[in-house]
Amino acid sequence: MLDRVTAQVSNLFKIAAGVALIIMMLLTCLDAFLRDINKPITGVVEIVTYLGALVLAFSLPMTQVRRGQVGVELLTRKLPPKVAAVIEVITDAASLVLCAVIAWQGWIYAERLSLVHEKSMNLGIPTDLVVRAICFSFAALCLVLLNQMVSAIARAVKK
Amino acid sequence: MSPQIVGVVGIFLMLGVFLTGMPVAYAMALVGWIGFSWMASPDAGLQVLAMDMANTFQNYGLVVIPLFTLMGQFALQGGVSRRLYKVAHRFTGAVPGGLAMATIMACTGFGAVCGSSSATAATMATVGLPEMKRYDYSPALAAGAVASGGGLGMLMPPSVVLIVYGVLTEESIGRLFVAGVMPALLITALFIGAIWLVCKLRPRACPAGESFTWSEKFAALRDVGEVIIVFVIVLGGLVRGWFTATEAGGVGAVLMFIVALARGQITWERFNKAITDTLWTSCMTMMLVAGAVVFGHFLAITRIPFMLADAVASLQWPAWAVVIVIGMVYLVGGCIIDALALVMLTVPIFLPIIDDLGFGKIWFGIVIVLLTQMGVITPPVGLNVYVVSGIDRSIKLETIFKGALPFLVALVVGLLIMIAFPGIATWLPDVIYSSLGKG
Repeated sequence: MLDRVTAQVSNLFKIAAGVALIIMMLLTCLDAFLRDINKPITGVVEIVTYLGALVLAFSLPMTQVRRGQVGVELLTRKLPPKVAAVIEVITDAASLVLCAVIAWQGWIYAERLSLVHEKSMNLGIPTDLVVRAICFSFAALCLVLLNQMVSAIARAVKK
Repeated sequence: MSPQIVGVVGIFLMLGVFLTGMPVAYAMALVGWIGFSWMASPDAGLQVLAMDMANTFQNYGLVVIPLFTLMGQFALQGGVSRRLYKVAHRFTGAVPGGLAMATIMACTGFGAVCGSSSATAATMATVGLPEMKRYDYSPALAAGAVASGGGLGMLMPPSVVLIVYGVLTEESIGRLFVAGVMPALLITALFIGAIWLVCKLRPRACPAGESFTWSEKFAALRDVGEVIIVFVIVLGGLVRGWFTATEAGGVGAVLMFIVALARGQITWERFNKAITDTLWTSCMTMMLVAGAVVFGHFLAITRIPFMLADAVASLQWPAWAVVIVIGMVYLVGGCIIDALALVMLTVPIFLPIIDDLGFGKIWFGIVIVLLTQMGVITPPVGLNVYVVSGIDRSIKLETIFKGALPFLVALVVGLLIMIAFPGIATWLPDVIYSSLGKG
């Protein structure tokens, strides 16, 4: 069940990240040429910055699903599988706490931005929206980490 | 406890956490957050963690990473590497060791459209290794050439390491890219020299391949014309100020996609793979930056980087000796930690020292890339060696590490040349930018 939900959530985020990436690529390219003929797209830097944030944040769950973050496996590779699984449970739990704190504190930060009505300079996009999207991505990342931790626990307690 | 002791404890704690296999980015953020909370207050720690993460993700300068990565992915899926290899093969095939030399040249060429060392190594492993095996090359030399040549991907612009370094040090990415060209050519020449020497000493390791007429050689050049055009447009546009670095990435990605499409190389599956791999590598890089930013704030509050810079300045060692010591740190560190993570971690520490010694940031950036290039082929972590071994499982890891040894020597020679003649990195950007009136 948790496996299926995790896969679906990470896939949804991946699709959103991919779409944002393609829009960002086309927009930067288009603006480079339009600016050359003195018709730049207004607020393109803001849009691209926010799209970039979405691309990278929405990729977090998918990257964790494929264990794509760089790690040093020098020691753990040489350990017996059970001991390695126990260490994995601990590191997954620590990562889970870290990401949950980022999502929680990020949300509080977004609330503060919303209270002072902070907006982007040219297009007036509320800046808290992007921060909230980043928080959602970290929350989804927590789900993936939880799933990986559960499977590591299962490996650690298996006879 | 004094701030410096807390800082040192934090550094050792982080290295300890690395060994548990926890992702390096998370480890840096976790230790940085705890350390900052300890030094300032728990509330301040929570705020720094959230704001560093949110602001790093919204950094316009870093948006360039997914765009240049996408450009490289489209080149990869569009078969550019295969065509580059074919051309280089035609020019050097008849020379003993020519196929290995062709691999190195193709790596440099592919590096011109792809900023990743491991992607370049993986690509050339699928293209170059089977050919070298077909001609009965020594597996050590063949795999060593691919793993080492892959490192050229991060020296030849566009380079992800240089982009990240530029963002960390607030140095012009355009200048850094231009600065990478001459050293990349120097290392290419040194690698080819290393292959030549191996072939002289062990002729059976690298037999000569088939030879081609000059008309066949020049005819093959047509196949890579688009790579040269894309490289010139992207780098030229960036240097001339037609595009910002981000726009150059966007233009490069679109152009590479058009090339792949025009050559009929892009299917839905390949397009999907290009996008997915771009998202993954960009996210991994970005998390490393974000983790390093949090850890960097912790280090800054302990004042360790500045005290270290003062201490090194008071030693009154000659500048080259300090650079060699820093080089040793990278060489040893690169054996344990991923190259990019090492750059993130150490640049905030070493930059004040380099500044005090009077070396430019541009030069240091190129030297760092050279050092990290060594890290990807040295045991036990040597990322590129694992990449090549993952693609051709018939070659043992030890064999690849052994095969990479002549290239490691070539890199050391290259580094010494760079220390003796810093102009190799700084001359081209100085000339180009002053001729454009950007001094």
